[in-house]
Amino acid sequence: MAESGLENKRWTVERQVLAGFALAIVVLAIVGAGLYRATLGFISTSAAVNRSEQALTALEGIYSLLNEAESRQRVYLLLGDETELVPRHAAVARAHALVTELDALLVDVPALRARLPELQRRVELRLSLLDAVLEARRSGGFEAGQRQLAASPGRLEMDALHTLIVQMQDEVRSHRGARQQTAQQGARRTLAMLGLLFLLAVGALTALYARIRREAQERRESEERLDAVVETASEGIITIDDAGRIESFNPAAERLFGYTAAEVAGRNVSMLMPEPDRSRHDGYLRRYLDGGEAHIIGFGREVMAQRRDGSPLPIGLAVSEMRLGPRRLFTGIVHDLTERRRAEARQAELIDDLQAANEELRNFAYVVSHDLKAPLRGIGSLADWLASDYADKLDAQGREYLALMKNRASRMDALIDGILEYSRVGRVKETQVAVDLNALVADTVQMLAPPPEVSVIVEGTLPTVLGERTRLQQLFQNLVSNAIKHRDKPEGRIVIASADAGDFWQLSVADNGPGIDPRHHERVFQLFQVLTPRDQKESTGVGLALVKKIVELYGGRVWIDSRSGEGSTFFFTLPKAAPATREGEAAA
Amino acid sequence: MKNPAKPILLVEDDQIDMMTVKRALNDLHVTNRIAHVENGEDALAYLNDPASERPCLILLDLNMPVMGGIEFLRVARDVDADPRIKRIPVVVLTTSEEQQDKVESFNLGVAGYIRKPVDYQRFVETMRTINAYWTVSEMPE
Repeated sequence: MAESGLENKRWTVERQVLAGFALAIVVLAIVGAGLYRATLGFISTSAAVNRSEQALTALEGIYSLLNEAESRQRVYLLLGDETELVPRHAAVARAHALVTELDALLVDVPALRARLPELQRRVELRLSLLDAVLEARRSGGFEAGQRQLAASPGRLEMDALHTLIVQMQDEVRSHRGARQQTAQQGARRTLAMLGLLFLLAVGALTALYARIRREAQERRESEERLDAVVETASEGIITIDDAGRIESFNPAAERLFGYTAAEVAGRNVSMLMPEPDRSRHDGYLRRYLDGGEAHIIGFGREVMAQRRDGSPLPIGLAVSEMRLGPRRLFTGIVHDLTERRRAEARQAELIDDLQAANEELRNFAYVVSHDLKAPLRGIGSLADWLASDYADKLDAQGREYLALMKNRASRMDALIDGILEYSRVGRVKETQVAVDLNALVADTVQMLAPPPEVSVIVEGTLPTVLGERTRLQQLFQNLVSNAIKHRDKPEGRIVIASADAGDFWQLSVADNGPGIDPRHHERVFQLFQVLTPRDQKESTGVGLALVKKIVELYGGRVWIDSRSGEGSTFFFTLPKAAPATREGEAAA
Repeated sequence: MKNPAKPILLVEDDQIDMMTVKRALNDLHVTNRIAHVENGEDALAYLNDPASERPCLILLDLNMPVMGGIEFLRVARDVDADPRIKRIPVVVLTTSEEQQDKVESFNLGVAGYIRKPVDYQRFVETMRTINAYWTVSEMPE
């Protein structure tokens, strides 16, 4: 989860940086476009201003040229010298040219351009008046010229033309002023906008810088943290490249193997392995890289490594693969198993000792029982022979003593049989078979041959369980015979029943006997523990201990539900599945 | 016993057990002579001794010093053993209840396996049964 969070964050950061750069580029593009447009505007404005200046000069020129033409003509009028007319004609031609020029100069001022025909007309008019005077002078001589001059409204026309030119000049000036003002306003707006955009770009880049810086910082910190983890890890961490060369070797690995990181850097990792893995490792790696099956990569394994001094090092090795761009790297985490191996060996040793002790104890019980029986039998026989061979020499008390002696010998024999029986459970193995408890209980009851006043009832159907027939029979035999032996009422009633208890069958043997005080419930299952004196009821105290041992051997549980005077119910459970007899006991 | 002239070989280390067997046979008026040896080795020596009379029945204890009953049976019932010895019936008289002892004994061809009762009277009854059986049963010469 943490990893995907990190992944997510990195992605977001990359997106943020990308977005920042895109924003900066867009801003720069806008700024550039703005500057381009502003420059174009400036050029066009200055061209327009220039044209206005030229138009003003042209207007001025037209007027002065006409004046000059008039003055030159006047000189001619006075002197009649034709050469004086050359400048007059030149001025007229220039004036015409200027009018044509104006048409081009005022191309972007349609209002003024519309007045050009009027100007032209007035210029033409004036020139025609001049021409008329000139014609009169040429044909009529000085007098006729004078007359024509006096008659013509030349002065008036000149004034009207002047007025028109001044008007037009004013208009050109005001147009130029407006144009300049617009241009200035535009320039100011552009500058303001560019300033804003510039600030935006600076802001975006600053934010971007801060973000990248923080990211770099975080990465550095995260790297440092990761380094610290690797450096301080208690497990050895080794990375190798796809050729098996060691790239990193943390301090724990140094301690484990006895090499320093500098010594192993760049060397083949197989140097940390004993033969035959050492010479095979390159092959393993190559096969894996060629798409072969992974033996260690991806899951942990317990393998043997080799220390610098050549001693073997049992390790738990987990190898994972990572890709850094096109490179494939492998990280091995090495866990020292030396202690565990030692502990395991120690444990195995202890278990062996324990098994040996257990075995000895069992054999002891068996051997001792056998060796005890022979002298016991001797005592019994001798007591018998004394009683029969010396009957005439014994009085009643002597005979009683001998009878007691025989009885005690028999009791001890029963006790020894009990020990033998008890020690045999778990020691002697019988085949596990499916045993139908209904048939088994019926057989057992028949074998015990209960007296007629005792009724043994099986409630419902008993299950079929897997187990050793003899042992299962012993369970019922002991429980039922106890119930028969200890009955205290004229009518004995013994009920055998079963219930489903999940993974187990719960079986019960209930009686209407004297009951057992709860404080004795633990005791009755102990070996040789009896609640009634043996002289009153012959009992070895082995039966319930045997029951407990058998039930527990099968993994079940045995307990009593009973109060004094209320009868007893003995419960025990047997597993439904094949009982796993405990290894140690079953194997012995 | 079918043939009262032949002895019964009793292989038994415990003196009282030996006395018990003798007394019980005596009580049962079995007239066969009792040849008593204390372990398997002595029994083999007795059987292989041409001077000793071949018994009609061997009563064999299992737990004995020097050579136990099972070991004796392994030798006496070996494929290479004297066939005249091999065919002598052996009845095991023991305290051992071990299944393994029973299995091995019968694998080695014993005629019977009897646990020694502690009570003498019951022992007498046991011996009575053995005697009755080997009185009814034919035996090879």
